[in-house]
Amino acid sequence: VSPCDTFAQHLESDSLAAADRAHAEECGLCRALLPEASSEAAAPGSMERVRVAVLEAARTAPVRPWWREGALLAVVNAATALVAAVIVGTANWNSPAAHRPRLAAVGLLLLLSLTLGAMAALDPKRRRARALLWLAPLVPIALVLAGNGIAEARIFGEALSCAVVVCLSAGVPVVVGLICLRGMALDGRRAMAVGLTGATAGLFALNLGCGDGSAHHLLGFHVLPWLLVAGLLVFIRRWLPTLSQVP
Amino acid sequence: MCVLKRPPSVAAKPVAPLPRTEVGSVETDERLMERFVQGDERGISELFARHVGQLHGFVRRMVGDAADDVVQTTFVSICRSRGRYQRGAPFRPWLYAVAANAARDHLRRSRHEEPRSPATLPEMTAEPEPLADPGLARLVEGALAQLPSSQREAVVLHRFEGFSFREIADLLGVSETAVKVRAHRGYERLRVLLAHLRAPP
Repeated sequence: VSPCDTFAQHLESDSLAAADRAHAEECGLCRALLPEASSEAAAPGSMERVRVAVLEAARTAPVRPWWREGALLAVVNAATALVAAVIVGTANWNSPAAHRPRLAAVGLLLLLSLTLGAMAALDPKRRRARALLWLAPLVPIALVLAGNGIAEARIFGEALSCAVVVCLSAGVPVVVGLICLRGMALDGRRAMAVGLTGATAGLFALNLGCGDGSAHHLLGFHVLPWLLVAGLLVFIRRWLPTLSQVP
Repeated sequence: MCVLKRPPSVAAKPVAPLPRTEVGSVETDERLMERFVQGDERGISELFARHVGQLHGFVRRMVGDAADDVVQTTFVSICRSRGRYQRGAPFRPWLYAVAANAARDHLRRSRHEEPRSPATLPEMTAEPEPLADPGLARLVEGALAQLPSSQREAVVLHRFEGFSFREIADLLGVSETAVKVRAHRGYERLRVLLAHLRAPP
């Protein structure tokens, strides 16, 4: 084994041993793998052009705290959920079979997802958006647990109307979410979190308005479109140009 | 890439020296960034001067000749989204996170994903030049260019920019294990690519 081989084997360690450094001082190839090895320098003048562009951006771009966009998205999500709830009605809430405390608890969970979830999804700390995805399975679990378990004898088209409600009510939140997401680096998990919180507006309305409490209906016509909308948002975000690469 | 009009006043604008926190000590990057967030443009000017050289090296190893554009995108992104800077957060890892995002976006958009065009790679069959650093550095960069971008990113941040695997994981938003796997594969490939240049046992 040559000293170069030994050096190459030690590259993965966080700090190189003295013997490896001593070898690198004598070996041009290994020296080129040291942290202090310089890359080709920028052409003279090119960084001055960049500096001028940066100073211009610093002068003209306004300071926008991240939480303003988060708050905007939260308000849009909540307003959409309330409008959708008014349109869909409260048939489920008024049904004799409804378990109101459970419905209220799920409604509160969905409202928190719509608002605090939107803030967390746009938080610069990426682990908050990630945590949101870990918590996302709570939504379908809560929906199924709160359902009365009674399947309404409905034709497929009627059941499909629930999926349409989820998709249509997600329209405005998704558009606003995409506008916000364009202002930060592409991050699939963040986009998924924004999509899920936006699509929750429809779930909130259906929680009050849809009388079919069977698990298969809730999973197939409420939860599945919820996931599809979020997936669609991730897909669209990948094709949109990014205005800023800040995480 | 945004197209920005060149303001005639910027280059000629006199820049007052930055205040110092105490006698003989220059302000930290984090303090400069906070000042910039609060509206003091001299903060970004000083940060640019401090970091642009090393950052250019990192970006060049990631995207090759497009480094100037990606460096500009990095700093302009920081200007536009300075409201997303977390007060007190270490500036350098954040800067490299932005640069890594910009480099990845460039590679994705330009469809120059790995490996880069062989026509742009340096000659890899040359004899070893033990003491000719620039030539060997180019050979190393040529080998790096042949790595998949995720492996190249991990290797360059670890080997050349001096970040630990934990720090790389934080700045890329992935797990430490994922970074170690990428770096391990990258180093393995690098060893193979550079094997013929090494001294015999």
